Formats: sequence, structure tokens, C-alpha cells
Amino acid sequence: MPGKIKIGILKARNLPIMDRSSESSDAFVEVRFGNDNYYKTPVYKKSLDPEWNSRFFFEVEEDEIQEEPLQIRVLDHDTYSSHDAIGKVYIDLKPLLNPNGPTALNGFFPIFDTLHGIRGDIKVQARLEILSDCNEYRKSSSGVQFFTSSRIPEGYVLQNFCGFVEEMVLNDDPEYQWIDKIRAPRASNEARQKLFTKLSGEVQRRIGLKVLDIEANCVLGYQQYFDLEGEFGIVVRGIGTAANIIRQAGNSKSQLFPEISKHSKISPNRLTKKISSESDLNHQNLINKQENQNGHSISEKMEYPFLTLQQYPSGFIKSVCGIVCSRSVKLLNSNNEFDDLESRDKWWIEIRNEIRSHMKSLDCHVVLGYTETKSICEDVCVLSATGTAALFNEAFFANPLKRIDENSSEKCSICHVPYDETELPFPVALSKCAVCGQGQVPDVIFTSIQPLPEIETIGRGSLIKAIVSRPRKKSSGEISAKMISDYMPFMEYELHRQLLGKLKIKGMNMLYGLKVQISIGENLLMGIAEATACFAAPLPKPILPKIINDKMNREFKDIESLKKLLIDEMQRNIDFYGLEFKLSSSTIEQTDSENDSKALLKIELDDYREKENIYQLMDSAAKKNILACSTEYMPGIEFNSNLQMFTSIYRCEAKLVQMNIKKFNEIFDYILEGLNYKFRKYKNYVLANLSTDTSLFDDDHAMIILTGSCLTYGESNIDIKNNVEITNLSYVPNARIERYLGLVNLFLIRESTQIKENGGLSGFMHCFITEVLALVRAHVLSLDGNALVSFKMTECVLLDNPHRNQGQCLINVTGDAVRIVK
Amino acid sequence: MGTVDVCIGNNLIIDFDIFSLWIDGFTIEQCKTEIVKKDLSVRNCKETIIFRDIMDNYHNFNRLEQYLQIPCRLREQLMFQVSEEMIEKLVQCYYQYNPYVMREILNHKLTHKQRKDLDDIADKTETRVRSCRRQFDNLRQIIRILDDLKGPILRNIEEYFCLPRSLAEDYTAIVFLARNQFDLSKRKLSYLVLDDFIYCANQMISNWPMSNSFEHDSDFNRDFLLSFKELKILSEKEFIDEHKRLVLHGMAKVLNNNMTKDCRCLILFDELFKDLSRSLIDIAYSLNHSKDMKDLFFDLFERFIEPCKDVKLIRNEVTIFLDEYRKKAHLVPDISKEYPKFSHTFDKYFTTISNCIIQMYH
Repeated sequence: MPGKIKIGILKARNLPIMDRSSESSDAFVEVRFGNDNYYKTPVYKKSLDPEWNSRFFFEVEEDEIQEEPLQIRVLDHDTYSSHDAIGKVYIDLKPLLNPNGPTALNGFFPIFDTLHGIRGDIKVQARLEILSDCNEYRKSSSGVQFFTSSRIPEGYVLQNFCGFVEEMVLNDDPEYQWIDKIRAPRASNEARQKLFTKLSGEVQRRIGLKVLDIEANCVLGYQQYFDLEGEFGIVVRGIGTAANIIRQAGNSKSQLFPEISKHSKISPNRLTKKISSESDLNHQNLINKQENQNGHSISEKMEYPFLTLQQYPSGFIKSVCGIVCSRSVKLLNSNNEFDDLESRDKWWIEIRNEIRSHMKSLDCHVVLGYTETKSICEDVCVLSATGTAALFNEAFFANPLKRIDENSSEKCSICHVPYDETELPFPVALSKCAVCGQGQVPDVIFTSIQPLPEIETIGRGSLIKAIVSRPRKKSSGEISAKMISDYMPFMEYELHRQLLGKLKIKGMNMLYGLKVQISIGENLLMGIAEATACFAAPLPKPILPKIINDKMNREFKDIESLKKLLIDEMQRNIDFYGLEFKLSSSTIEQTDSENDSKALLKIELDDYREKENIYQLMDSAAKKNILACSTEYMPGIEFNSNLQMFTSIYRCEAKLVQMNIKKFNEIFDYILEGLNYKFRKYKNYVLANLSTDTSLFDDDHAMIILTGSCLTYGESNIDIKNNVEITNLSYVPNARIERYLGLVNLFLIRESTQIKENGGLSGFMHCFITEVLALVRAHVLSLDGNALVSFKMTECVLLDNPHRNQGQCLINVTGDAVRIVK
Repeated sequence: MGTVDVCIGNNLIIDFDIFSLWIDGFTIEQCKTEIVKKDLSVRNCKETIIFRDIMDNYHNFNRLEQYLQIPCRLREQLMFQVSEEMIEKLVQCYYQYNPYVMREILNHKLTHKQRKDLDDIADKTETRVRSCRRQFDNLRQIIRILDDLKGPILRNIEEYFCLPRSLAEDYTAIVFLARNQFDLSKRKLSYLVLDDFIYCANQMISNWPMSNSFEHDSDFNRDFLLSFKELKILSEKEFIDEHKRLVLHGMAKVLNNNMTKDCRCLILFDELFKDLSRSLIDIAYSLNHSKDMKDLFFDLFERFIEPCKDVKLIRNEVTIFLDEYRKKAHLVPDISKEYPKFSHTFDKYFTTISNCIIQMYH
């Protein structure tokens, strides 16, 4: 559909001095959109606060708006030499395509230069006019709304889930093209920024088309990944959950989504995919009396019954079973018969199929909180997919009125195992549900979703972290890939052993928001798992890990003292987290025969290292007393205000081979302690939604990025007057989201050749992150928003060359711009 | 410690203890020592953690500084999310000056050369060079911005630098002293502190008409200064004797009323009257020459205060003298016939000058 963008380039302020002699600048602006549209404002002479007041319009195609950003370039006019660049602004116009979104965009945008950072602000207006036209074979998919928040947007009602959608594009990375050898850094960085922005637009547009095909109107829990494969190119992936949502009737006037399905037709080649998908599925175990009603069954309809959301409306989940996960190690340069994109597509399909079969073997029919990640090191990459296998209520969509009483009747049933006691999918100790005494429950449940309000918890939650690291030989290609894939199962096992051990010692039995990250370095492999642990009432009380001493040569006294240590630690945790149960003698002194199978965790003492392992299971002294969790909500605590979102970046230079678990633990403790110190003035606070991102570079440095929100509880409302609130939560405590204004997705590169002069790499990063946040705020404000939820730094790569005093950093951030009411 | 170790938030977090240390030119290491000394609660924390927190703050301050130099930009900038109260607090702290340092800075012209020679001032006042440089730059920045603006200095300072009233008033005086290039560096004036000069400057600003635009290197209205020429009449022979008689008579009366027995001062003033009076009138007469204007404080000291001090007159006596001198000048017969606007002009001049002298007389 053709449309018209009306643009106003009004004025700028606080421009840098480009002409030393007159201490001012002669600024003008170039505006570009796509390949054909170009406009140039007149030169405003000798001013740092120029006013152009230029208004003009571009005629564009709708699909162009979905892919192309509006490019604004501010320059300093030079009569004799070439004009000097002041900076650029990229504006995504997609939010304007959304029928419920803002109609115009208006505000000051910081002028960003990849070499100098923010240099003044420019006031831009843009308004979009789309001429209605219904083309059957359209390329554009405007009108499909994207939400990065992994939940049903506030103020909307879910009608149904339509399926898992994914898309991927591959392109050469401009940084690795031959032309880059002769190109100036600024041009190279700008080429990358432009390309990446465009690619992510393309992914969204294509996903949008798929969404229209399956007759959905939005994508929830949209996740975007940039896989920087170096010389192999750049892959932009997007996954999400297609769904139909409508605006809640209670909220002002009910704005129904336009019925997009009307003018979209399914082209023949897409139909085939649907047919094939049906043959993929065969769920005998799901024969359920509600199943046939309205044909709403998700699993029937979807090729992959994966949902990327982490929070679901109450009553939707029938039962959660546990984590399903699949990993695979691939070589990027394998010369097979497929082209590059096709082969990558195949990789992911393999993994998804595996996840699906895991899910089926657990007698589940849906995977919740699904994510796909990729870690790359040179030509080897590890693809991972994780989610929580679960059952959902088939009746949920069929009978909306019944939703409420459905869940009120048996709250504990979510914890009950979906499979039969006689046909266990794997060895598991079942016991009677502690709440109803009817159902069978396992002794622990691990999930990747946010805390479920339906499951009653006792006491407060806690952050649990497990780290595994292992040196590997320097190698490349096939050998390297094999080595990594051989080690993968051990790593997985070790991570879970640690998680389980820590969970038990905490006196808890359930994990929410479990996230595992695998990092590969040149000579180190590392896995980090983090989750929020809590004590769920339906599940049995944890029993103390058992210390088994196989070799009888150890002193009895030694073992006893270790045992005592564990008991003390567990008791302390029970008191601290308010878990309200006592370590009865039965939990401590288990008789060997009976409880052996139940005690999932045994600690076998073989050598001195095992003893160290026991200490590892306990929190270090520094971490005690810091309340933290990896989820948006903390079991047992009600937040009342959002104090601050923080991003902590730590890079250590060390021979990575020498980095062991203990050293990594020390680093994390140090970062947490630092945060604790920063917020020491507040009494009751929780570091919530903590998420770590670790990357290993070469063989000598590791970068750890910790993001989270500092939230207060039980204190009188601390009113923080913000223009724009940015949070990595999908909600704002004590506020209501009134309107979703669209996705903010910024891709930025910053480079400097004066690292030492500006406070070192620390100063460089500090400045860049501050600038990124400033840009995000400006984009939110221009859409008439006052907050950004589900902020996520999906990519942050820092490269440096100390000898040349050089540093480069690349960041991608996403989030949902919203308008909130307090 | 890592090579990168930072923590950034969406709202600007500022520790004002650290901010004031940064302003005073402490290095990160010195700042840490100071914080540990000051705050007992942080003693248990690891030093690296305190250090890192200070670094984060310093990173912010270094970026913030460009906006603090033009505080009205601080309100519109998008880089940091700062609340209005925070802005006020930051600006107020940043523009806080040390009176001893400022006194030294005013001794010289605000040239680029002096900026490099701030070490001496730093040594003399026991302040850090960085702090001196900030105070120097602040003053220079204010003067630079004000040079392009018209209207009263105070209003412009309040508007462009978002300073609270009292601080803005002080800066008004300091700017006034600096840009009219009053010479405060004479050794004989070294006993005077910054507050004395601020007081005197404010007297002039509020009592004497200003030009409202900074031209010909002076803030004063030129016609007004020229009118002082007419005051010369008072030192002419026919009037000075009469004036002297009236003043001494008046003083005797006042002293009598105050039950002061000691009449030594009457004798002294009797001797000094002609010199002092001539000096005061000469100063007025020459104010329209910019060089003489620059030496105003020195002239007042050398030609009035010093002679009085030499004979050990106390401040109270000088006050009475100046008061009587002013009052009785109007009563000198026939003086307004010679110059009709004499009373008005004389009062304008003399109230201010006598207030200055009294302030400086210590």
C-alpha cells in the first residue's frame, strides 16, 4: 500500500562547535528513506541552535516502512572541503503503522555519532498517511503488533494462541567485507548500523506475514537475536508467539483489532507447510474430553506447540512438568549442499523437533517460556533451546466464563505430575501432594517461566546460581566441535547437580525463571545457570543432601562436622527466608534403604575436591542477606516501587584457562556486593530480574553483564520523578500500563580512538551505556510514551586494542514503549 | 579489578558526598580515603567496592561537567535523567566558591596565562589546583556569557546559571569587580577579605546607575560618573572652611550626646579635615577615568583610611565623621546656588563611598 510520510525537521540545539574560528557550526540536515527518497535542508549559518523548520513529504510503500528506518544526518557545511558529519539519527516508523498505536512521532532525538557519541539534539516530527488498498499478495504485514514483553499485554484479553513463529535472515557483515579495509571507521560503523536495523525490520515483516497466515493479530514474547558469526556473516533471528488479543472492554472504549485476516490470503506454498505440520503431530495421550470443543487445541493446530511467553493468564496452565532442553554443536563453515541460510534453518528444525519429542515423552503437550540461543566462538557454535514442558487447560479458550472458578478449586493441581505413576518417563520420586493429599508430585520442579501465583509458596524466594567452567584445548573446526559436544552432557549434569544441591540447602523445592547460558571461549567452556528458588507448598519438604563416604579411610569426625555444617546452613536459610518448617529428625537422619531413591542428591566424598564442592553449595558470606531473584516477581514479597534499573558491566583480564568456578563465583559476588553498596541507603530492597550475560573473548578476557531492577517493598512509596521510566520488567510496580506504543529496537555502535583520555575502557563503556539509555528515552518520548518495559540488551560486544588506544562496542537494545499511569 | 567495571542506571544516581569531594578536586584514591574516614558504615565494605562506586560517580561527573558549565542546558539535555531538585543542588554545589581562592583570583586579570598559574593560589590557600581551576573557569564562564547579554547582571545570572538568590548576588558582585577590573592586588589591600569587596561592589551596584550593557569595559553609566566632576565645588576655598566648621561642630554635638569624654578625635579631624575632604572629592572627581576607577579601593585606602589609621582613629569615630560630613555638606551656604543638583549628586556619591570606607575600616 502506498503511503505518505510527512516529515518536519524543525530545529536542533546544543550542537558541537565545528568551526573553531567562529565557535559555531553551519549545520544542515540530510534526510533519507529507502533508496529513492532524499531531502536536504538549507544551511543554517553560524549557530549552535539552528532552526530549519523544513517540512516535506516522502511517498513510500508500506513494506518499506517496515524495513527501512528514517535516516537523518546532520552535517556541517564547508565551502571548500567536504562537509563534516555531526551525527545521525535513525527513526523506526513501524510504530506508526499500528492502527492502535500513535499517529505521529514528535520530539527531540539525540544526534548520535559513532565516533563522538551524542552531540546535541534535533527536533523531528513524522506523520504517516497510508492509502488503503487491499492487495491479495501483499508483501507488507503492517498491523501486526509486536510485543517483546513475555506476557499478555496489560489491558488486553487473550483470545487464542495461534502458534510459534520464527524467521531468520542471513547477510554479510559489512565489518568483514573487503571494502572495509579501505573504508573509514565511521562509514563502516554506519553501514553496519543501517544494515542491522534493516535486517531486523525484514525479520519482523516476514514474521508478520506468517502471523497473518495463521490468522493471528499479534506477536507476543518477541525475541530478537543477532548472531555475529564474523566472516560467515550476520544472522538475525526472531521468534515469538502468534496470538489473537483484544483490548479489554472495561478500558475506555473497546478497540477491536482490525480483522486483518480478511484481506490476507494464503498462498499455495504456505499451505503445504500446514499440511506437513499435521502429520508431525500425534498426541494420543491428550485425548481429553474438552479437546474437540471448538477445535481450539493449540497442540493440534501448531507445528511446534512452543510459547515464548513467561507469564500466562490464570487458569491457562493445567500442570507444569519440568525443563526440556536441547543443544547441538555445529560448524559454521561446513560446505554442505545447502546454502548457508537453509543449513541454519535445518539446525534449528532439528533442535525444535528434539524439544518436541522431549515434551511428548513427558506426556506434555505444550512448551512454555521457550527460548532459543546461540553461542559462537570462531567457526563453532552451540545452539540451545529450552522451555518448560506443561499441560494447559483445553477449556480455557472454550469457555471464558469458567476460567475463574476453574483455578480456584484446586490450586495445587499445577504441581501434580501429568504422567501415570506406573509409567514414569524417567526415574523420579513421587509423593502425595502436601496440599490436597490426592495428586502425585515430584520432589522438585524446575521451570523457565515466571512465578505462578496459583502455586502457594511459603516464605521468600532467593536467587540461585550455578557455574561450571572447564578449560579446553585450543583447536578449531571439527575437533573443537567434537570436544565441545562431548563435554556438553557433563556440563549439563554438573549444572543441575549444583542447582539441586543449592536448592536443597536453601530448604526450597521449586525453581522459576531458570536460564542457562553456555559461553565458549578459545580455551574455556562455561555454563551459567540462574533461577529464582522458592518453597512451594504442594511439594514435599527438601531433605538434606546425603554425604556418602565410599572409601572408609576418612575420619568419621570429618564427615560429622561436614554434616553439621550443612544442617546449620540449612537451618539458617530456613529462618532467613521464613520457610516455616523445622528440620525434623527424619529429614536429617534418613535411613539408607528407604530414602536412597528419594534423595536425588548425594554428595560423595572421594577426595579433597569434593569437600570444596560442599562449600560451593552454600552461599558465600557476601551474598547472604542480599535479597535477589532472577524473575520479575519475588515469591513472598510484594514490590511497591521501582527504584532503578541497573546495568553492571565487568570485564576481567586473566588467563581464562586459569579461571575456575571459584574465581567466577568471586566475581559475581563482587558485582552483587557492589550493587548492595550502591543501594545501601535503602532499607528494604530486592535486586529483581537479575540476568547475567557472560562472554569469553580470545583466551584472556571475559565480560560479564548483569542487568536487573532494584525494587523496594514495605516502604512508603518512594516517588521517583522520571520523565521516562526504563525497566527490564514487563510491568511497572504501582502503575498501570495504559497503552502500548510499539517496539523500540535500537542498534548502535560506538568507537573511540581516545580510550585512555576518557577514563579508560570503563569510562568508554559508562559513557556509551548512558548514551544508549538516553537514546531509548528519547524514542519513547517521541512516541508520546513515558516508560519502556521489558528492556533488554540483547547484544553487547566490546572489542579493544590497547596498543592503538582503540575500542569499539556494539549494542542492541529492545523493549516496549508504553504509556503508564501511576 | 577489571578493566571495565561500571554500573549504570536509568536515573542518575549521585552521591553528594562524593560530588563535593570531586568538586574540591580530590582524585579517586583521595576521595576513597576521605569517604572511609567520614562514613563509619562503609568500613566493613571492601575497598575495591567503594573505589568502584566512586569511579562510577566520577564518570558521571566528568560527563555532567559540560552541562554544569552552562546550567540552563542541564534542564534540556537528554543525556542524563535528572530531577529539578537535583539540578538545583548540583549547580549550587558546582558554583560554590572558596572566598580565599576567589579573593586571590580577583587579584589578577582572568587571562589564559593566569589559568596556568593557579598553582600559586592553590599553595597559598591550601586548596587543590583542580578546585581553583574550577572556580576560575566558573567565573570566566559566567563573565563570558554575561558579556553578550543585556540587562541587570543579577537577573541574567539567575536565569542562565540557575543559581539560588544569595549565591547569584555574590556572583553579581564578583563579576562586577572582575570585569571593571578593580585592582585588589595591592599589598596594602591584602588585609581585606572577599566579603568586604562583595559588600562594596553591591553598594555601588545598588546605588549607582548601571549602563545595563557591558560597553567600554565598564558597567557604569558614563554620564553619571561625569556628574561627579561637579562635586569639586566642595573643596573650593570658599566652601571648605564653612563645611569644616559645620562638621566639627556637629561631631562635637554627637560625641557629647554619646557621653564620650574623649575628644581627641575632634582635634585630629580638625588637623586632617582639609586633606581628607580634598581626597574624597578628588576620588569622586576622577572616577570617570577608567584607570582611577580601577584604583578606587586603593585610593580610598591610601588617601583616607591610612591617614586615619596612622593617628589611631577608631572605626566608630570615622563613622561619625563620615555621617556628619555628608549631612553638613548640604548645609554649606550658597552651594546649591553654584550647582543646583549638588545635594542629589553628592548624596549618591557619598552614601556609597562612606559605606565602603566603613566596611573597609578594620
